[in-house]
Amino acid sequence: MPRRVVVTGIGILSPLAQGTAEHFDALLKGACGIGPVTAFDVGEFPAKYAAEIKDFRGNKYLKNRKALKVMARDIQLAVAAASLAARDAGIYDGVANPERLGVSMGAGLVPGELDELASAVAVCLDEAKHFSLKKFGKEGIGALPPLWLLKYLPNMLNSHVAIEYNAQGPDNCITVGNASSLLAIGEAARVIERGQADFMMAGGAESKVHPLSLVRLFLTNKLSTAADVATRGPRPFCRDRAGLVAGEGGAVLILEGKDHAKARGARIYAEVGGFGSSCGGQLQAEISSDGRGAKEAMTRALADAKMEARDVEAVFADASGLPEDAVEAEVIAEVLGKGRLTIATRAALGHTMAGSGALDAAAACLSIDKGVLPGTFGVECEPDLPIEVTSKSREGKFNALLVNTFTFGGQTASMVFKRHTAE
Amino acid sequence: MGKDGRRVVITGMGLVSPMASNVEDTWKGMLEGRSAVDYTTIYDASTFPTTFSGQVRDESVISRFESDPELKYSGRNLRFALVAGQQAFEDAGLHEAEINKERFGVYLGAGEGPPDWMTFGNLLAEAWTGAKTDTAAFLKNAVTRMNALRELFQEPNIAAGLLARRFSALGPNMTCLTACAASGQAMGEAGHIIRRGDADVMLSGGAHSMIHPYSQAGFNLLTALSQRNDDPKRASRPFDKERDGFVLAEGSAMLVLEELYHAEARGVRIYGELMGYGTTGDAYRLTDMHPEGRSAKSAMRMALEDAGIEPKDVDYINAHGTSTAVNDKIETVAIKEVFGEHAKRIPVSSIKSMVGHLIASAGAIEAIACLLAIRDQILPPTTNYEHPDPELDLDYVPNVARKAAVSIALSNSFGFGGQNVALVFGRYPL
Repeated sequence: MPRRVVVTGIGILSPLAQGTAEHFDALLKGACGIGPVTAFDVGEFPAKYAAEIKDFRGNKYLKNRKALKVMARDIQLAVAAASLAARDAGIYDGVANPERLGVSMGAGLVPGELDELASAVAVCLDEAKHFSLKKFGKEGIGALPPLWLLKYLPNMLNSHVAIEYNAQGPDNCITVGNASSLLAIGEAARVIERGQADFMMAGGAESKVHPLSLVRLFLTNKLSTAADVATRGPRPFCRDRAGLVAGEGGAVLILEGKDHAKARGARIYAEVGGFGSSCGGQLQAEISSDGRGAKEAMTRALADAKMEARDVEAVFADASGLPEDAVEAEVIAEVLGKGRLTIATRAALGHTMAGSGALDAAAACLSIDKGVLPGTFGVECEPDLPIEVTSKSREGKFNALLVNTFTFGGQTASMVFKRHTAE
Repeated sequence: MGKDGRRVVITGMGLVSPMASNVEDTWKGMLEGRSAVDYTTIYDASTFPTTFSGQVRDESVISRFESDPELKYSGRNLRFALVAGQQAFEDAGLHEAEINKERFGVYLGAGEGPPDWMTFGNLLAEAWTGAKTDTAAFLKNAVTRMNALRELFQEPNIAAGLLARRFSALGPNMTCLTACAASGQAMGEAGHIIRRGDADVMLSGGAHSMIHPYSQAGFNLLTALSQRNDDPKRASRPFDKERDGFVLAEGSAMLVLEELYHAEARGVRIYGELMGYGTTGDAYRLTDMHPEGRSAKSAMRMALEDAGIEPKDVDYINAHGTSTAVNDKIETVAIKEVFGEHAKRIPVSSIKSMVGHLIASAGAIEAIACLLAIRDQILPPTTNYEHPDPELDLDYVPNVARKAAVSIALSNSFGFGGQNVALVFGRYPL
């Protein structure tokens, strides 16, 4: 029988809070992390709101503080989440055999800091004031910091986490847009299942609160330009959904072999039930119009968990306030049955993209552990929706929750987390 | 071996390399010891510290997508991926009408696409105030001058998405980007997906092009690239005493991984078996390998254990061999420790001496070299090996391809940042 995998630590950094318990509390209370962009001046740009993490100080979380200057914000957020998770799981020096401690991170297309490159290209203009590669090759390169490239390589999320925690085990970095961190958690569970590690630090983080990221989102017509998103949120699944709001954040889970966790008497939040991935084949939308890739991933996760549709009590949806939310609602109803309770945390957190799946996986584990599910900020169920969505949190004993993440490019990922039992 | 004894074999291969836009011509070039490295022409690199690269020279691979309304905005990496993926699919004798779409997945080690560097550079220059970036001006100008698809196509997951769309593959679909280890890692993980029973066929491999001004600048700043500008063809010289850095290259290598009985039932040619996979993290430093190569060693050991073989069973090691001072030294140390008394006997070569370093695609093109070495019983050489380094004393198959009995080959891929991968390939049947 394959080795079972449990969650024994959670670390969260979100627009709601820097800390796991604080984040989940705020989510339950119906808080919203969206406000005016303060990280930089957006001027006349039509999208003026984002879900920012305020007063984030990476050095609070790091042993090796010198490393901060070679970390883009995505990387700092991931390392910080890993630090909270490691502390939560009680992974101190000596608890984990370094060769049995691995890292699996989901990363985005990490954008460079504009100032660094801008200051270098600005000295490389020709007579017509155009950027000149000839000058860049000669003078521009020297104007950049020596370790410039390292700041933005996606696998640096892994590298920094591995160095901080001396994790010498299996090490993979998944780069699948918005599905990155859920896929990273699913892949990490497989590594433990097949016996190649006892612990995996798994998750991911991303900041979309960056001028280049805002431009890219705006160009694909996804970004919300509504004036009321700060007060009402992007309203996933609603007829008057407002579009996607850029967010930043991430989460890291400590996955552990169940036998290993029991032997060391670790506190267990939940067990990994099942995992599935697929691809819908579309390019720009978050989910294909026929919902096929989404349906396939959910079906695979259920089968992998050896569960029936009725066993899953609620879904953490990918919905972020875009037209394709309606397709996801149909797919959830088709796979799990009509009226299934559905939560869209992007309503409060904005879209943290590569961080989003890990944030929802963490929320699912906390919901099972605490016996209460958060609501969806700013959303009340609409009569013709085939699923149930509510702004209110709900108490109950939850045995199995499903998490969806889908992405532009076509990939889909679903995971089932279930209540941990003694046997 | 996986659940219910499921084993993984390779039944198709496709390749766009600096040498040629197909598998056989690239292989022929390698066996002849030809260098595919030359001066960079994708952009004007004449003033850069390094002026040459392993650039794909076959313009037809690029131009064939120019009339496609979407793909004309795609970067070189995606065009390479689509061409190599199609080749691999056809080489495996797969047909869209017959394949079980739910049991067919894609797992790539794929890189980000080249940025729209002139547009981006000009936008940044115009927004620079002399002290900081005027972000409001950047945003205002960028939304009118950047192209939505050109930006979207830079995302690393697009190659695997486009290939899934092309073949209607509904199985597991993933992309990893562990730098230079990425496509080796992708193949190892894809193999596990088949072994576990989650798919019967996986298209796996890599696609990447970092030959653009910003990446080149980044690597030059790290002093990782060879600067032998007067003699590009002799610049990549793994294990040679006068090596001075790696040669940045680009391309895509794709392999069809298939469950053994599935392949046998189709009666398709089998190149070999993917027997073992090891993955570890160095957890040491961002820029340097651990001095004793601790996780390079553990990756090789994990792959051998996974394959159920002993060091003595390995007939050939396809090295990561980048031609950097540190990698080649530490890789040699690690091989000597893992293989012990057998290390001196086992031939070790690096095809990067001829095609350069394809970064995320490196592991996959090297997998192809291993499988063809097994098929043809011949080892590709390490070219430009002229000055033995006293510390580096393995048999590097210097300069000339060599006939050899090869049943089992091990291939290393060590990622910049510390992700290390080793794969073991075997002749099938052994």
